[in-house]
Order: sequence, then C-alpha cells, then structure tokens
Amino acid sequence: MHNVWQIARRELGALFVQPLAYVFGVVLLALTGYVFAAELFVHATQPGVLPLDVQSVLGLFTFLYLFAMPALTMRLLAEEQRSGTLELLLSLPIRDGELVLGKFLAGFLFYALTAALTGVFPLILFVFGNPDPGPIWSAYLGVLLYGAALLGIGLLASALTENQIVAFIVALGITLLLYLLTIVAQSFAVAESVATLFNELALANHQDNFFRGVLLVKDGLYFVAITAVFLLTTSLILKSKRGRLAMADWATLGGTAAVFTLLYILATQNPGWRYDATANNALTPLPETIDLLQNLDEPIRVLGFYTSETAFQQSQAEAALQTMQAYTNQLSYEFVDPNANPLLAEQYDLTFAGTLVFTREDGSFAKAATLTDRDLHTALLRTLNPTVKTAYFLTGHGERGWQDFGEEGMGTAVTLLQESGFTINTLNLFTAGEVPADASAVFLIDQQAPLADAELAALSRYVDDGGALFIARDAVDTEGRAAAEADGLLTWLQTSWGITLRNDLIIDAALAQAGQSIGLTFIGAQYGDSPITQGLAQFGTIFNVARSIETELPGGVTAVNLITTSSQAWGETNFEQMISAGEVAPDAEDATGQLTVALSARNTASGARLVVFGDTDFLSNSFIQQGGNSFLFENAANWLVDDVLTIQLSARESIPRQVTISQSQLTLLQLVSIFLTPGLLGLAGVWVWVSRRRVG
Amino acid sequence: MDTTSRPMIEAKQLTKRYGGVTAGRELAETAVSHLTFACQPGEIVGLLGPNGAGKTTTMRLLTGYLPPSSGAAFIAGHHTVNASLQARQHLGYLPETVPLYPEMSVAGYLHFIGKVRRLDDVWDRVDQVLEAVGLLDRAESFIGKLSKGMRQRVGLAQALLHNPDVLILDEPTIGLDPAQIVEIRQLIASVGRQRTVLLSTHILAEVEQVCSRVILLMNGRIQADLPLSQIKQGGNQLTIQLANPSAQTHEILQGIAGVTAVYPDTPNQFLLSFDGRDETRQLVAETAVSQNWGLLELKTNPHSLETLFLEKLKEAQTPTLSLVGGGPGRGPNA
Repeated sequence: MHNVWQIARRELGALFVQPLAYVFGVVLLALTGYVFAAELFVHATQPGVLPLDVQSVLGLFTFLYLFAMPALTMRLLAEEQRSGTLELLLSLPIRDGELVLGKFLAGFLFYALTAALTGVFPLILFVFGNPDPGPIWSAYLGVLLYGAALLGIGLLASALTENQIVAFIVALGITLLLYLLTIVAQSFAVAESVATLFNELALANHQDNFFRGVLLVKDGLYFVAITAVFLLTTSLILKSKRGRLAMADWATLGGTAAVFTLLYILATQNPGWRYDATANNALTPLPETIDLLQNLDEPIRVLGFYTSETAFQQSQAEAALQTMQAYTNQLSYEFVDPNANPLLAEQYDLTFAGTLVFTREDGSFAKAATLTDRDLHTALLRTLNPTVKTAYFLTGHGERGWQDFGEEGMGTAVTLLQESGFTINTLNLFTAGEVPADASAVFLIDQQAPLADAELAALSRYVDDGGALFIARDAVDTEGRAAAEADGLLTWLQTSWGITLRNDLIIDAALAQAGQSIGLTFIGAQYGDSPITQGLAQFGTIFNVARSIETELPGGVTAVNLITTSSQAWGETNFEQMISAGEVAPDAEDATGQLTVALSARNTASGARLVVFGDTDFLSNSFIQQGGNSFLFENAANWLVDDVLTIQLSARESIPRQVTISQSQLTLLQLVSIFLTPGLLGLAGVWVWVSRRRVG
Repeated sequence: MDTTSRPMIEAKQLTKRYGGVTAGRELAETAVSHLTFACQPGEIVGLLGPNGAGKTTTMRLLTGYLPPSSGAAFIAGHHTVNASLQARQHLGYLPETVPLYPEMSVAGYLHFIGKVRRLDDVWDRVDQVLEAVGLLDRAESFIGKLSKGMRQRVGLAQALLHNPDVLILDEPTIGLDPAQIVEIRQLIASVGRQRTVLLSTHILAEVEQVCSRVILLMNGRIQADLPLSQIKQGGNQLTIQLANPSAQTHEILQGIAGVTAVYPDTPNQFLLSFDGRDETRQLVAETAVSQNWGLLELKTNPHSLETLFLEKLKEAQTPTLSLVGGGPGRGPNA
C-alpha cells in the first residue's frame, strides 16, 4: 500500500500541473452547473414536476467522462513506457501490480474530486429543500463505481501501447462498445440469449439503477468485476511486455474472471439482492406484488401505450416495470405509440394513452391506468385470473346518464369500470324482455320511474338464476324518485332478500362535511368486514342525501353492512318540516344510531349477488373522485362478478419533495451553480501555472 | 552483511533470446548468450562493446527488468527474478536515456524515489546526493528545464539515493560535454570505492580512466574479461613509422622472427605485435634501415585497450572461438 500511495501521489502531482486537467474540470462543472440551474428554476417555479434529485446532473457528468476518462488515462502508462520511466520505476522495489494500482488510485482520486465538486448541487437542494437523500447518495456511489470501471479500461489501453493517441482510441472504443451494447441488443435482430448477454454486459443498464436509488448486488458486482479484471490484465500486460508472464498469472486472471462471473450469475438469479435507498421504498413492489411476481409460471408481456407527449410517464413506467422484473424472469415489456399503431390500441379498448396492458400468451389481458401499486398489482392479478365482465346498465326509467360527464352524470364511474375490464352495455328490459345471457351484472342506478311488472319479472328470474344486481337508490327528494317508489322492486327486495330501503333521509351531524348546517352530505363512519371496503377507511367515502337500509335476512341469505353512519345519525322522515322550517331533529319515527348506507348480500343457494346503496350521488361525476368513492364502486362491481378486487394494498408514505427559494435566491443560486465552482477551479489552475512559471 | 565473501553481481550462463525463439535456434536472435561473470565490492567494471553488442540487455537482465531465457543473475546474492524485490533493494540503476518526469522538481523527484525506497531520512539523503552530484542549487528547478548534463546527474543522484551496494549505469556519460564527462567520471570513481559498479560504455577512454576491470562484450558474448592493470603492463606492441615503405613492407615485417602480427595503421605506419624481446626490436630497426624505408620512428606501445578491442573485434567477426583471458573475481562456473 505504501508504494501504491507513493505512485498515486506523484501521479496526482503530475495531473494537477496539467492545464488540460483544469480546462476539463472547468468545462465539466460549468456544463453540469448549467443543467442544475435549469432544473433549479423548474423546482422553484413548478414544484413536483421534476424529481428533486441530481440524476440529470450526474447523467451528464458520467456522459462527459465517457470521453474524458480515456483522455485522462491515456498517458498514465503509455507515457511511462515511451519515455522509459517505466524501466526506472521497475528497477525500484515496486511490483507491477502496485504500479498499476497506484496509477488507478491517482486517476480515481482525480475523478472522485471532480465528482465531489458537483456536490455543491445536492448541497443546494438540501439547504433549500428536502430531497430524498437515498437516491442522491446511491447515484454518487454509482458514479464512483462507473468511474473505477472506466479507469480500469483506460489503464489497460494505456498499457498496451507507447502511443497516447492509440491508448485513447482503444479505451474509448472499449468503453463505447460496453456503453452501446444495449442498443445493439435492441436494434439488431439478435437471438434472445445473445440479447440477454448484451444487456447484462451493457454499462448503461447497470448505471440506471444507482441513479434511480436502488442498489443491486449485480450492478455493484458488474463494476467491481470490470475494474478488477481490467486492472489485473493491465498488470499482466506490463509483465508480458518484459517476458515475465508466468502460468500462474494466467491462472490468477482466469480464476478472478471465473469467480466474478459465478458471483454475477448468482446475483442475477437472486434479484432480491437489492437495497432500495429511497425513503419510502418507492422502488420496491409491495410484498403482495412480489409474491405474485415470484410465483409467475407463465410469461407476461406488458404493452405500454405512450405517445411522445407522455415520454416522461413512459420512463416512469419503464422504471416500474424494471422494478417488477427484478423479481421474475417471466415479465417482459415493450412500448407502443398508440398513434402509430391505432389498431393495437383498439384491440385493447384503450381510451387514453399512458396505459399499461398486461397480456398473457392466450390473449387475455388486464389494464393498469396508473402506475400506482394498486393498479399494477390488480392488473397483474387480473391477467392471471381473467374474468369476462359484461355490465348491463338498465335504461328507460330516467337513470343517470352513463355517458354523461356533467355534474350529475356518471360517465367517470362507468369509465372506471371499463378500465377495470368491464364491457359496458345498456339494457332496455321493456323491449328486450329478458336479461341477456352474457350479463355478468345488471346495474339499476337512480330510477326516476317505476319498473314495469314484466321488467321486474325478468330481473327476478335473472337473479334467481344466480345473477348479480347493483341497486342504488337515493332518498325520495324529487317527484321522479317518489314515483319510482311505486314499483315492485322494493317489495321484491323485502320479500326475497329481507332488505328494506327506508323512506328516510340520513342526517349525520357528527360526520357532516364542513360548511353544512344539517349534515346531508356525510362521510361513512364504519366499514364492514368485506373485501369491497378493505382499506377504504384511510380514504373515506362521501354520500349525499342518502337513505338508510335495514335488514331482516331470510334463511339462505347472508349480508354484510358495507358502510354505516356514525352513532349520532338518524333517518329523518319528516321531509316537510325539514324543507319548510329548515331545521331538523330526531323524533320517535326516525331510525337512529348507526345506519346502514350500503350492503352486500348473497343467496348461498343460487349464488346470486346483490349490492344495495341508499345513495346514488356518490357515483356522480362530482362525487366519484372524492375520497375512496371510486374504489368503493369499482370494488363493489368487481365483487358482484366475482373478480379480483382492486384491493387497497399497504400504502407508502409520500412526502412532497420541493425546494423553497425566493426569486432573488434563485438567481443567485443559478449564478453560483454555473460560475462559482468552475471559476474557483479555473483560478486554482491559473495560480498553479503562474507559480510554476516563477520557479522555472 | 558480509560483502567480501560473495560477489555483489553474479551472472551465470545468462542468456536472453527475443521473440519467442525456441532453444537451439541460431545466435542471430539471441541478444546475449551464456554470460558468466561476477563483480566484487570495490570493483568498477566496465562493460565494453560496440553498439548492439548486448550491453543494455545485459543490464536489464541484471536489474530484473527482463527475465533471462536461461541462466540466472544475482544481485547481492538475491535472484533477480525469484527474489526480485530484495535484489532491487540493493540496486541503483541509471538507464541509458535517463528517464525523468519533466514536470517534477529535482528535489520532489528524488523525494518520490526515496519514499518508494522507504528511506527514513529522505530529505537528508536528497540533500546529500544532490551535493554529491553538484545539484544542490538546482533542487527546486523543474527537471524539464535542466540541461542534459544536469539531468544525467539527477539520474545518477536517483541511483545513489539509497546508498546501494550495486550501481548499474548504462552509458552514464553519453551526450555530456567534456567538462561534464570529467565530473561524472570522477563521481563514479569516488562512489565506486565502496560499492560494486557496473557501467556500460562504448568509449574506451572511459573504461581506462574509471574502471578497474573490463568485460568485453561482442555479439552477445563475452570476448574478454581482464583487470585493466593486466592490459596496461603488457607493452608488446611496436609502432613503426616509415618515410617511403614499399609494397612488400607488410610482408617483410611479417617475416621478421619474433613479430607475431602486423596491422597497417596509416600508409606510412604499421602496428606490430611481437614477443617483447629487445632482440626483435633491434631486428625490426635493422631491417627498416637495410631496406631503405626511411625509418622515422620506432616505439614500443603499452598494451592498450584499443588494440585489445580491435583484436577481439576482428576475432569476433571471424567464426573462430574466442579466448577469454583470466582475471580476478570470475564466477565459479567459469
């Protein structure tokens, strides 16, 4: 180690008197500073648009070193050979290995110093904001490992020749080859196994994870292996040039390469050998998803539909998919531009770009509309357990418009069902006469007129046959709803299922939304033990002008009260007084205590399923996006057709990452980023130059 | 260490072939062949030979920079390949073109070498060697700005820094001006009193002035290995200068009893090797007079290195086996 350090020290001294080193440092810092300043502007003016990290800065840094490293390393050994100092050095008690390590250390320290100078950028983020430290330190760790590998390559090239230019070209050639292998693997029709090998060997593939904030054992091994094997080969080249290469040297090289290869293969087979450096484990799938991925026994191909306008989302999607890939070899993906390939988009009923479609070989598929853990998990589950889901929305009774995106419509809710894999149809029972045989579920939402007897008969036949029915009815607050009360549906519910929709209006003063005088709009207080409502408590569900439900279940019917009010609620029955006096109070006729707003029921004999809501407003476009209403509707619909539910998984904590800086601070910090550090380095260079001239 | 009992430099059947030549191939690809010699403490040995004789290869074999194809070399008893690091600790080496780092200062460079050699009192030693080579006033100068002679001295300082038992100097005075040459030769002579010095050169005068012994290397083989004293005491050579020699002069001189060889030097001057007897000299003078060659001068030369060199060179160019003269400190295998 003594000799290594002495050689490194001398080499560093030689580096720091070279004007080129300073010129390069200044250019490097100015360019990265410029990128940082531009990002800082976005951080300050549009918080949350860009991730608060140093990915782009270090991306540029490593890209520049792709070319700078061969220039830095070209002279390290070539010049010693050309001038003959190598012969002198090796007449000292120095081993070839020590010489190579010393040169490596010098180059590495120089590299690390330039990397440290970019530390001013994350420093600014930490002083003025709250970046996640994990991805920042992991990116710097990646930068250091990357530099070591490039140094190894450069040293080898420098040992091969006395000519610095040749050394530069050889080093750049090897580096670019490793860098571009992934493109070769993607662009050319190479065999799958060759493409895999290329991808494993590609430099860029191993850098990405460090930058995102996840440390993979195999990525670390890759860089360490490249460094070690190239350095070892370098010292063997020096030996062989003097005819001193022995059999044992070949054995050492072969052994080292073999050990690293084995370790690497072991690491690729253990994708769980990773450390997620992000504060909220954002780069690790939830345990439930990992379990699914690890048990995949057939290939899943993911098609990502993204346009050029959604390139940023596409990169996020790719990161999410790569994260999933870490736990399985069965998952592959490709990105498709729906504009360029509209037929394919149509095949999967895509309504908008930015969707991932998980497909199986048999053609079944499921979609994830967002990159949330929930959507990815559900899409995966549904792909594995495909269910044909055909929903019929009953029409002809003034129901809410299923394609209406106005305040009162439920276009949004229906779209959610479509994204969840439902095929949506409308059904006019009066003309059709029977519920179609392919119906998975029938939805009766907000009737404004009574059902005809024939319709009711058709519905009851359908349900008795094991059908599934979704009924949502509001409190009787309009003439139309009052008219609808006259149909036989309510009676059928009571007699066949023991479910009564009371003619009342729930007032929950305790959980009323802020700003209301009497509490007609309220939040669900308690959630029943059902997969439909699992995890909903953390989001809350909001209802408006709802009626309560009571049950007296006959044999063979089971039910779960999905959502109940607080114990301070009551079902007001005196509508006239409420409207005329504008004030309400519970009285003897009113049901009090915890009132049921929604329930699910099953007939164990026929297998028929029923979901009944005493509210329809929660489905309207103005309410569906509030709290967990959308989850509630989606889950209820999927429960009806016995599909996998979009269950809420364990949530991650999410901290908004942003900087807080004033306009004047921003300007100052931008100037500092672009000019201060490069300026100081430049001054140091001038000082060295002047002082050396003086000594002469 | 007992330095008197063991030779400090020892070469045993040292052979170096270049370019993956298999054993038994022609000598043409062999840089040096079966060198066997030994140098004792206090000896300054000149490795003399024409350009391309294998001097630099020999030195690189001795420093361990190159491994021998066969045979072995030892520095202070350490094998140059198997115990390379120990051998190098006893060794100071000045390669032919003094390789230095131009961007370093003289003192900084020597300090670096001292650190690698793990000297305890590096700065003191740097000052001592700088004084010895007369560069104390240029300690802070950058090497790149020194004259060739000064750089040569920096190289020598580097080789002397750790007080090595063995100094190997490859053409130490090449490219220096006459005054510098004298200085460096004096320096080598003074340091050589306590150490073993092997210096290579193709300058005969350098060997005569500095060395106590000479190894003559030609075509990769040792042609002679003699103490200098033995060469100088000889004196069995005559120079005869004639005003008007005839075409038969060479032949007639050759025919004189006691004259062993005749070399035409200039058209008017011949070098004669003879048996050293006074009668022979007398006979040469009488012949010159009787033949009316116009005898201008007849003198006895001391046995010079130059004649030895030329003789051996001539022998080496003819495919006869050369004789190796005896001398002190020869290897046990000789």
